[in-house]
Order: sequence, then C-alpha cells, then structure tokens
Amino acid sequence: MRSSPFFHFLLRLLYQQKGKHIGAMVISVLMIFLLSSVLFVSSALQHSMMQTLQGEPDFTVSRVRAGVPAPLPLDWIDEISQLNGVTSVVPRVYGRYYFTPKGDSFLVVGVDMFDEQNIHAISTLLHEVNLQAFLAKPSMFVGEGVKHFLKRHYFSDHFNFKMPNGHFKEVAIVDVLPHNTNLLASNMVLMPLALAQEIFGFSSEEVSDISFNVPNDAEWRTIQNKLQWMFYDVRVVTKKEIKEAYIHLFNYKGGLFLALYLVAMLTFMLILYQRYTMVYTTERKEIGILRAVGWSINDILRLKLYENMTIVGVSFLVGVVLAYGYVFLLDAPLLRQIFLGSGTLLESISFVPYIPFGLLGSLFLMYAVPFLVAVLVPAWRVAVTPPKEAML
Amino acid sequence: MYRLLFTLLGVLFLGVVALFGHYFSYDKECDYEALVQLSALSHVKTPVWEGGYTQPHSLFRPTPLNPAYPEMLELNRVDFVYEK
Repeated sequence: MRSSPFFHFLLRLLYQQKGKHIGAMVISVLMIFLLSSVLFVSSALQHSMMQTLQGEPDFTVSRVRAGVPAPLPLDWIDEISQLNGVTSVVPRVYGRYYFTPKGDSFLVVGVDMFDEQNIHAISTLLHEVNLQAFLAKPSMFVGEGVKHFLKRHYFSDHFNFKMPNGHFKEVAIVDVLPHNTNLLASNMVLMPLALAQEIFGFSSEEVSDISFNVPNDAEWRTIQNKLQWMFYDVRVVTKKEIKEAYIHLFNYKGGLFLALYLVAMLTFMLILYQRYTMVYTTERKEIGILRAVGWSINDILRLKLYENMTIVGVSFLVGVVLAYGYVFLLDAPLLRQIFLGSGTLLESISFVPYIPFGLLGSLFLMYAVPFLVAVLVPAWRVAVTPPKEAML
Repeated sequence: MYRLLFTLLGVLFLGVVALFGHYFSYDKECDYEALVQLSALSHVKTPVWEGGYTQPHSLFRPTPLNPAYPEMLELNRVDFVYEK
C-alpha cells in the first residue's frame, strides 16, 4: 500500500479531510446501527418461533361461546379421533392466572406427568428433577420470570393459587425452567393436568382445547369442514394460519422501521448531495490541478469512489458490529420493549443469535448505492470541467 | 498516519472477528432444542408477550408498552388471526 502513490495519496486525502467525512460517518453508523438492530431482533424472534412451530399441531380446536373461550368436554377427543386421517389427538389444559385483577398474569399449563414423551422432555429440560417427589404433593415448575416475580412478592418456595370456589391451593415451586426457554416459558407455570383443572375450576372431564395432526395436507380443508359440521361453537385454528400470522407480525414491525429508514435515508442522501456539491465547488481548484498534472476524469472518479467506498464500508461494519453487540450481548434494551412490551415477566428474555445475511446484503446495497451516487455525481460534474476553467 | 490507519483497521477487524466468533461458537441448536422440548411438553407455542388466539390481549398490558412512548398502540399476532 505504501508503495502505491495512488493509495498513499488516497490515505493522505482521507487523513487530511477527516473532519469533512466524520459527520457523514456518524450519521451513517447511527442509521445502520438502528436498522440492523431492528433486523436482528425481528429475525432472531422470527427464527426462534419458526423453529418452535415445527412441532406445532396442525389443528387446534377450541370452544367459543358469545366470543368468549369456554372449556370443552373431554369426550370430543373420541369424536375427533374417529375422523379419517386424524392422528395425535391431545387435550390441553391451560389458561391465564391473574396475580391481581388486570395485573400480571402467568400462563398455567397442565401436563400429563405419566406420559412417556413428557417424562423424557422434563428430564431433558431439568436434569436433576425428582419426579416422584414432584408428584407426591401439589408442585409446579415455573419460568424464570415467574420465579423472580413471585420472589418479589415473598413467595420463594411456594405459591397460594386462589381457586374459583374461593379456596386457596398451596403449590410448591420445585424447579425453574431453563433460561434458554424464556421466549416461551418466562411467564409459564407447568403442573400436573389434574392440578391445573382444579385451579381453573374445570371438572376432570373438561379441557381448554384439543390439538391434533392431519399428516396429509390435502385433507386439511375437508377436516376443517367436518369439524364445523360436527360442532357448531368451535374455533379451528390451523398451523398455517399461525405461521402466516407470525410472518405478518414480524414483517409489519420490521417494515415500519424499514419505511422510516427509507425516509431518513432519502433525506440523508439529499443533504449529502447538497453538501458535496458545495464541497466540490471549493475543491474545484484541487481537482483542476490534478487534471492539469495529467490525471484523467476516470482517475479523479476512481479516487473519489475509493475515498467514499472506505467511508461506506467502515460505517457499515461499525454499525453492524455495534448492533450485534447491542442485540445479542446486551439484549437490546428499549428496542426489545417495542417488540415484546415491558411487562415484569418479560425482563429475562434474551435473543438467540441469528444473522439474516441476505437482508444485511440488501441493507448494504440500499445504503451504499445512494450514498455513492450522491457523492460521485457532484464529483463528476467538477471533474469534467476543463482544468483551466476549474482553476480560475 | 499509517499507524493510526492500521490501529483503526485492527480494531474494526477485531470487532468483526468477535462478531463471527460469537455467532458461530454460540450453541444455537441447544437453545432451539430446549424450546422444542418445552413446546412438546406443554403443547403451547405462544410466546410470552402474547395471549392466546381467543383471549382479549389488552388485558395483558398492565404496564406501558414502551417507557419512551407510553401511548404507542400494541400489536400482536392476535390482530392478524382475528383479521381473517
């Protein structure tokens, strides 16, 4: 690099005119940082949810009365199981338990603790749990958010659930669900199915909803129609709908920022264009001298291109590295609340690193191309002026 | 001048290396596996910041959405499910 006069001149130029570039660099870094952070948060959440949704049951049937969810009878399972093409019919007991009316709420989930797959899942998640001791008395596993919340309210090893009949049910906290499940489990309470039914005031023949799979996609529409004919007060949600809803949700939130970014980018480019038009007017003499000593228009443009490519590249890398640290090391304070909200139970959520390389590439192009155009057009206008005229 | 340039380039290079180092060494599969196991256990895939499909989600926001902009309207998956 030292041996090339061109690069030496380029570096001297960058060094001597650093004051001219620093403003553009700071604004560029800020814009890239903000948009990359939004992309990282949005993509990390979307990717984690899509990974989780892979095991989502194809259909979920819930009973809705007057627009309000109602428990449905357990014997619907037999009726649904008799439909051709239906597999893995599972009852689910879950619901919100409000700590205070309209206050923070936990998601209480009933789990069949005698199912082999569930036992395997529990032992994978919680390595040292003793299920015999767990089942000996009313017990539960809680998410990290719930654990912190209850501890703040002086429930360190148990919690008294208030049941619909007015009685209290003391349930022991046996273990805390792992930190890396906080995206789903921060506000979750897992307990035996029967205990969950008791807390919600369900009878042993009532469940919250029923989920099942239909392996053949072509039968989905038929099954949906059959369900609507069998039961008149049901709401059927398919996995496809949920996936689409997630994609819309994250694209919507990310898209809002993208729209703001485009407006800010356009304004920035206009300012940059005007600024460089003025700068190059004052630099006409310098460019005229370069032309007079034998530099061609191409050489001048190449110099300006390399000069601004350096600024673009450095700003982009600094912005992306800062955004990565902000999102995946600091868990995106403030920005996270725009995506997730600021409830007490959401404090302990962290993002699984995921870099959308394609989107970052598009972001680079959307930033670099207008930047270079905004800078090179004024430079070209000056460079095409005859040297004599330029030095006047 | 060159020393400053190489220092700045070195810092930038270290930043990029740290980024990729963290990204590729992070055990993502372990986190995804834990999420899959939990969803298989609970049969619930609703992320913590949302209510269920049929629940009025306004109830789940006792505190402002964002302290920097408390009046900002909330939007979650339920809106898109209901839209259909």
